[in-house]
Formats: sequence, structure tokens, C-alpha cells
Amino acid sequence: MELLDNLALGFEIALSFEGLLFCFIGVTIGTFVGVLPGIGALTAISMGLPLTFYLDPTLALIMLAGIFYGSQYGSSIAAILVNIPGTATAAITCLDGYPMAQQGRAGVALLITAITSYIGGTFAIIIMMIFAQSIASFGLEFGSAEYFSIMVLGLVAASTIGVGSPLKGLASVALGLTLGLVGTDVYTGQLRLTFGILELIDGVSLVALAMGLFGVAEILASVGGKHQVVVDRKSVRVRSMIPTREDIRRSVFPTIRGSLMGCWVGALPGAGPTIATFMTYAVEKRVAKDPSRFGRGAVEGIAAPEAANNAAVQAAFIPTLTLGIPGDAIMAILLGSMMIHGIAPGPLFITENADMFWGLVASFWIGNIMLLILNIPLIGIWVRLLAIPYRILYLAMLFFICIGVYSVQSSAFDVIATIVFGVVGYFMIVLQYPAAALLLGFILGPLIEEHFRRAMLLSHGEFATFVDGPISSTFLGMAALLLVLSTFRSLTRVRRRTPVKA
Amino acid sequence: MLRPSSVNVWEVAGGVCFLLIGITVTWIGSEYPLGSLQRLGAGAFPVASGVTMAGFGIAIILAGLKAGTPPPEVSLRAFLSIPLGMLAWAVVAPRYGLIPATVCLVVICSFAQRPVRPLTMLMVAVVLSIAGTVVFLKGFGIPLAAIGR
Repeated sequence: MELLDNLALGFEIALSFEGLLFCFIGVTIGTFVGVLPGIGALTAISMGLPLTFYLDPTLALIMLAGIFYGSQYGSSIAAILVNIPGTATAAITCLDGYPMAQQGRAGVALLITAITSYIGGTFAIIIMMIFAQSIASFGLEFGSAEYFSIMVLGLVAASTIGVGSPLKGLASVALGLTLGLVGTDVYTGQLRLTFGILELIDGVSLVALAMGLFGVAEILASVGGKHQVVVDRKSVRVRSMIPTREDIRRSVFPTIRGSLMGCWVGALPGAGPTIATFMTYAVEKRVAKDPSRFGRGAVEGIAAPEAANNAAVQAAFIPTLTLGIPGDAIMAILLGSMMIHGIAPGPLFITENADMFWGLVASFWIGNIMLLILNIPLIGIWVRLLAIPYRILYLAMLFFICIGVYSVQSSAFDVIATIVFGVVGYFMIVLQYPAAALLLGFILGPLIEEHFRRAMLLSHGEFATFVDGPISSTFLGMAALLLVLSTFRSLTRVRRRTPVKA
Repeated sequence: MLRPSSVNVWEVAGGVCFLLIGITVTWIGSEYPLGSLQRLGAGAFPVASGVTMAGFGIAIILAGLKAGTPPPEVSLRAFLSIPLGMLAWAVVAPRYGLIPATVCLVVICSFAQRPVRPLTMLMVAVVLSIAGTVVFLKGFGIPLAAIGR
């Protein structure tokens, strides 16, 4: 069966010494990054980007992907032990995980988290393996109009779904898009928005943008804050990890539901792990026989979101690799790094770069197993890591950012660009503009422009081409619907906020 | 009925930024050939995105006028020392090498946090310089001198 052949190929690559090594490095860095508050997966992956230039692309991707799903594990650990979520998704785990820790059941929480995360991730990987080829074939039907529409949907979804002002989200996307226009126009060779700066001929550096917007900006925002961390070491012995039969019984269905939902939501472009996790928690609370237990250490409150979380993270790879459409900012960065190597993910990616695709898929399996096995004994180390003072850490991070950005093109200009984006990113954090949306707009912008122009070229200037086809019109329709819904939502929100004081 | 008495300056400023950037981009974009609908020129998308941003800018200004959220706090120390430190690195590294640059970076950026601890600062500078030289210059082969050009 073709699937088995492909898997064999994939495992051959993933099980090679380098494959295993970089997978291990990736998941370890990921967990480390997830455990430490203040550094997100996005930052870590941005900092790992320059490395892709020195490594074989497949190995680099294995590592970066490992950082991504590893960080989810790590952030859960911090959420349970010290109530500080390393990533947005872990915020949900805090709700019931930390109470469990306070009840002396931290070990159980950690083990259940590890297992359900593994199940969720595995589920998504299986789905990916089964459906990848058919999704790719479906993607071959996509013309430029369809690509344009789905990317627009992705951008609109990313900026309007979830917490925060949709208006600010859309504005961020527009800004990112504009930044993406800087450089040389592919069709006409016209220099755009370069302001006479030589270094901008090839456009704004993705690495500088990502590192600045997420790395430097986070540091600017966190420095000076207080990171007091107190962990109860006693509750984290291996022996205390064994869950009761009751715990296991209660976790089964939430895990299944979480995996399904995570997989589904994660695969949609524009929606990602954060939304999947939040939604799953809400569903579990509704479905539970005794909702009042949630928020006080209910095992379902961590089992389902963790499964959803990991499933969504793995599922996000599906549209990225099979259609070339990144679902969120992290996927966009991975996509960007692949494109820099001249590899274009998309419907043809699976067949033309079969070794890379299946090597990645196989490494997901291995990475998830590594995380499951490694995290149990290593918990003690992570606990101790939580005590590293931030005032030393941020200096190391700044150093890595400087040398990382510089190393890409031996360009001091890029480092300066990083500073600028750091300041911009800082204000975005302070004023609550989603930087991830900006990044997404930056990467998808040039693609959207390309597809739009090509579609118009092929249709001889007819806008109708975007609404003629069933696929394209569906995507645009959904985008329009999201816009309407979010406008409605923010208008009613504003009205409710103006209180009448008697 | 009381109106929120504080207009959030920061929010409005954010909107103004978008408006200004939008106008600038539209203006610059219109200088490039716009082309026809069938063959869109280089200027088409810049103009479109500029107009869109200006529109969002206006909407954000309006939203900022209504909202009564408290203005955010900005840490001036971090704001000055970190960019300066990184700038120093960018200037020093190609000319004088990684180690001098890293020392500058650590020293200047250390001022972002209070209190400044000279001993820690020196230790971190030394460790990072050495580790950086070993890992990045020798290990990854980045074309940068440890000291010198």
C-alpha cells in the first residue's frame, strides 16, 4: 500500500541519527521555551529560523516543528505547577491544572496532560497521513482565484476570531500586508516602498521582522516585571503521578472530544490551537454532569483542552503542507523558511518533495513519543529551570537575537530593522494589537497579490472570476460572514460598555 | 449620565499612526504605474492597502474616542537601553568583532533592569561572549571575527 511505502521512507529519514538528534533538540528547546514564562513558541521558532540556513531543510523543519509542539507540553507544565501559562493555550490548563496542583495532585495532572496531549497529537497525525494526498489532489483544482479567496478567509479569520478587537486584528493584517509589499515587484521589477535603501531591494527580512516583533518586543514588555516563582517540589515525585481509576474514567471521553475538535479546528486556515483549546473547555463544561467542578481541579478540564491543543498544533500542518496555506503565524514562519530554500509547499509538495513531507510526518510521531517519555523523568529539571532569573535570561535572548539576525545575510541593517520592529511590536503589545496577525499578513500578502493579479489576468479584468467558482465563492462568502459577525459583535460590545452612572 | 472623561490618547494615537501610514503608502503607491484591471501595475496593491489602512485608522480613532480604558504604562528604561544596546552590537560587531560587541550589548542592556548588578553583568558578558564564539563562530561558521575585522 502506498501509504506504508511513504511511511517507510519517512521513518528512514526521521530515524537517522541526524533526524533523531534534531527532533530531540527541537522538542527539548520547545519544552524549555514553553516552561519559561515570557518566551513563546513563536519567539523560539523565530530565533531558530537562522539555523535553517545552515542545516538541511528537512532537518531544520523537523527541529522547528519539534519546538512548536514541544512548547505546548512545556507550557502546560508551567501552567499546572505555577499557574503561569507559557503560551496562550496553556491559560486554559491553568484553570483546572493549578487547583489540582494545590490539592497535591500535580503529578497526576502532569501525567494526564502528557498522555492526552500524546493521544491528541497522534490522532491528528493519523488524519494527516490518511487525508493528505486527497486534500492535495483537491488543492490541485485550485486556481488563482481559489487561492486568493482562501487566503483572504485565512487572514480575516485569524484577525477576527478569538480574543481582542477584530478591528485591530484587521488593521494589523493590513500593516503586515503593506510591509510585505516592500521590495521589488515580481511582475514589473518596479522598486516599491524602498525609500532608496539598498538593503530593502529584496524586501523586509522575515527573520528581522519575526525576531523583532516577538522576541525584542516581548523582552521590552517583560523587563522590569516581577517573576516570582514558587514550586512545591514534594508534589512532583514520580510516585505521586499515578492517577486513580476515577481520573482515567473521567478523562476518556473528554480526550476523544478534544482530539476531534482540535483536529478539525486546527486544520482550518486562520483558526488555531488557541481557539481549539478555548472551545473545547467551553464544550466540556456544557457537557459535564456537574459543571461546578470545573475551575476547581476537574480532570476533564485539563484532559480535553490538552488533547485539543496538541491535535490542533499537528493539524495546523495539514493545510500548510498540502495546500501551501498557513493557518497561523507559526505555520507562516515555517512556510516562509521553506520558501527561502526554494521549496514551495502546496498540492505538488507531497509528490515532488515526498521525502521531506513524510520525513516530517514520521518525525511528528517520534517527537510526540519523545515528549511523552522524556517529560516524565525530566519534570524535576524543568521545575528547577523555572527559577532562572529573568534578568539574566533576557540578556542571553537579546544576544541570540542579534547574532541570529546578523548571521542570515551578514547584515547589520537587519539587526537595526529588528530593533525597529521590536519597538513597533512593543507598542502593539501595549495597545493590544495582535502581532501574529501582522506576521500572517506579511507572509500571505505577496501571495495574495500574486494570485489576485494572475486571476485578473486570466479573467481579462473580470471581478466575477472570484465569485464564479463554487470553491472561491464559498471562501469569500465565509470571509464576508466573519466580517459581518465581528462588526456586529464589536458594536454591541461598545454599546454595553458605556455604563449609566446614577 | 456621565461620559467617560478621559479620551484614551494612546488608542487614538495608534489610530492616527495607521491613518498617516495609510495616507503615505497610498500617496507613494499612486506614483507607481497603476495599470489596468486586467494587467494590474505595481501601484495597485500599495494604493489599495494604503486606503484600507487609512480606513482602519479612522475607525480606530473613533473607537478610541469612545472607550474609557486606562492608558498603558511604558517602561522608559527598557525602551532606551535595549535598542541602544542592540544598536551598539550592530555597529561594533562587523568592525571590532563579536566579543567587544557582546560586551557592549550586555553592559548597555543591563541598565534596563533595576538594580544594575555589575558582577552579574560582567559574568553574563563573559559567558555569552565565549559561548557565542564557540557555538556560532566555530560551530556554525558564521563569518564574523571574535575580535577585530
